Amino acid sequence: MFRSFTFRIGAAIFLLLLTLLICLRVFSYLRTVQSEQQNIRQIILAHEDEIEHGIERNGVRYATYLVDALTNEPDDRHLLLAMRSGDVVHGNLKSWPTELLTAMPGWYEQGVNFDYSLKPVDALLFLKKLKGGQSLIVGYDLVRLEQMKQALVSSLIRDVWLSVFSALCLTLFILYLISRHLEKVNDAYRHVMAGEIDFRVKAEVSRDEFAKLGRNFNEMMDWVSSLISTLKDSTNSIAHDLRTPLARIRLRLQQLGQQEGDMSEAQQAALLECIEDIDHLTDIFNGILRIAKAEDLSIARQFEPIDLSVMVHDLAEFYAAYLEGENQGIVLNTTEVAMIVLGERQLLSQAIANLISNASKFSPGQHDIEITLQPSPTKGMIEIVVADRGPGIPAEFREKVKERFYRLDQSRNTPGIGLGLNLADAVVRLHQGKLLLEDNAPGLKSIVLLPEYEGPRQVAG
Amino acid sequence: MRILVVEDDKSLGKYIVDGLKQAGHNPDLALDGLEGLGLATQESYDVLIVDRMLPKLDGLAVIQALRTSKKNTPALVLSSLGKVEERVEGLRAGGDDYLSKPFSFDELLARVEALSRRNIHEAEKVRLSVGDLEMNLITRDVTRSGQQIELQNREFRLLEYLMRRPGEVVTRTMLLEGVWDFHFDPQTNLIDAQMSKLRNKIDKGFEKPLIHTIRGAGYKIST
Repeated sequence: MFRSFTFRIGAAIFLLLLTLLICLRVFSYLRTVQSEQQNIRQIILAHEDEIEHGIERNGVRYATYLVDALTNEPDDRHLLLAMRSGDVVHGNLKSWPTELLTAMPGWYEQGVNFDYSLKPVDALLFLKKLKGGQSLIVGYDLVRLEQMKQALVSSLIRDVWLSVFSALCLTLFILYLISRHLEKVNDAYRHVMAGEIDFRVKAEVSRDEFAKLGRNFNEMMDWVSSLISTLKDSTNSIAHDLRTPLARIRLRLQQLGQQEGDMSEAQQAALLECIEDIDHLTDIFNGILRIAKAEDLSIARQFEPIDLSVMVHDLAEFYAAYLEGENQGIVLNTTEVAMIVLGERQLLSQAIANLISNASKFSPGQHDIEITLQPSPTKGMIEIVVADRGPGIPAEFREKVKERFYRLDQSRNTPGIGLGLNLADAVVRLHQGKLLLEDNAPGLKSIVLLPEYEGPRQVAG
Repeated sequence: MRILVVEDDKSLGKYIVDGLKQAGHNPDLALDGLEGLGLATQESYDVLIVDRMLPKLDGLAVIQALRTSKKNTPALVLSSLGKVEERVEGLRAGGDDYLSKPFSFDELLARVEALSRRNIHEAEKVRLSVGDLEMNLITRDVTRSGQQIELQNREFRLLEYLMRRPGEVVTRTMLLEGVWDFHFDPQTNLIDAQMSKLRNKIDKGFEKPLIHTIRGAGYKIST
């Protein structure tokens, strides 16, 4: 899930949206706080200005009067004023803050004691030396600003949650839109892979990328189907055109052989060889047709539940009688439990038969062939293992031997046409499985992995 | 036996007809589907051999037309494609057996003769016997001259298949299909191995063997 594209893009959109929304909130918080601070500074500067001008115009006495008057204002208890000339301090400060006795003029932020307050209050102060030698402090307490900050922070937290929620909603909506469109095409792929080669994506009027994707899919499938049907037609007619003359030749040769007299033994033998060659040709022909069939996905529509334990048992028994004569045995490891897969019976039997046949062909006498049917370590899969003690296949050729007509140099002298593994591989792939060739140290271990059938357990035959 | 061969390849048709004549049958040849259908409805044949791909009327259509007009003459379909689904199609259309080209003549002959006796096999029998060999299909007992013979499941079915066709030639592919349901050729000599095992149990120690090998064709059980 974490590797799915929709999840990743969803997470990215979500984080981006969230960061954006939170940045906006924080920015507006900072702006509000800053403008409030600006306000306070302006109030302070205005008062300072008024007092300074008062002194210039009307003398110190007027200024003291002004300070007293301003600090006695009953409704504004936030303003802080203090003027010191010599040792005399006017204003609403309990005492001149010791830190500011020798300080340079400028802005300060610190706790001070109002004459009416019980404990120090945080305030913003402006210290000014007046021309007459007096020091002036104009300040404003920060109580209101703190309250405002707290209110803002709690609303900020609420807003963050809101942002998370809205970003989530928005992301999910976008994802829904994307995946709905993608799922349409995905669904079409699944149908086609399940053999419905004629399945198409429903046409859309819009001209967006998704509609284009669907249209391209449809066009591609039209093309593929026409290729397949052309191929099928030509294979069928080739099959027909080749098989009838082959049948003719075979019958003709057979009748020749049955004519009494006038043929030497050598001629008879040559005739038999001709017939064998035709049978060999037919084998190749049938093999190729079988593989073509195994590669035709539409066969999947005819799949039925098959009990592999019955099938493997039958095949093992069938080969055991033959191998006895070759001084070989078959060891079958299987349980009584039914192991059901969905498949085409004939193709699957042939694939497994090919593996057993290979094992017997390539392993020297007196070594048993071991066939195991068991649940695979991979969940939901069943494995059939056919193991021999022959020369095995070098690691670098294990993929190559699955190719059509490929034969290892060392096996050129054994009978066969190089289609067995190719067919087995095609059949297993048709059944959504895997054919693995591994080292049996010594020998070869062919492993067929097939998905276990989970559906209703009604097994035919 | 009267046999109708419907095959558009003149030369192949002639070979089949000649072969059937040599085997003592009485074959007719039709070169297209319409002619075949005409002959099959007018005359009474024991078996039909019908090519799958025919001019004018497809082989399966010929058989279907016959079946709808309640003509149940057994039919063997000759295919040039040899695919499993085609076989199924052929059987579904009313064909009774199926053989893909190229085939050996003995195979064709064995199947045609088996088809002509098809109705006999269908009868519900409880006991089968060939000479002193007896098989009880219900208790699954097999005895020869009163001696009990132990057979494994497949051996029993193999013997049953033979005993239901006493005196008939049964080919290896017929056995593969009929006993094991393998519609592919694993390795022909595998059947021989099965048969020699069965022979060991049935014929060993008895003066007269019952199971006979027919060279180039297959096997036969008879006294």
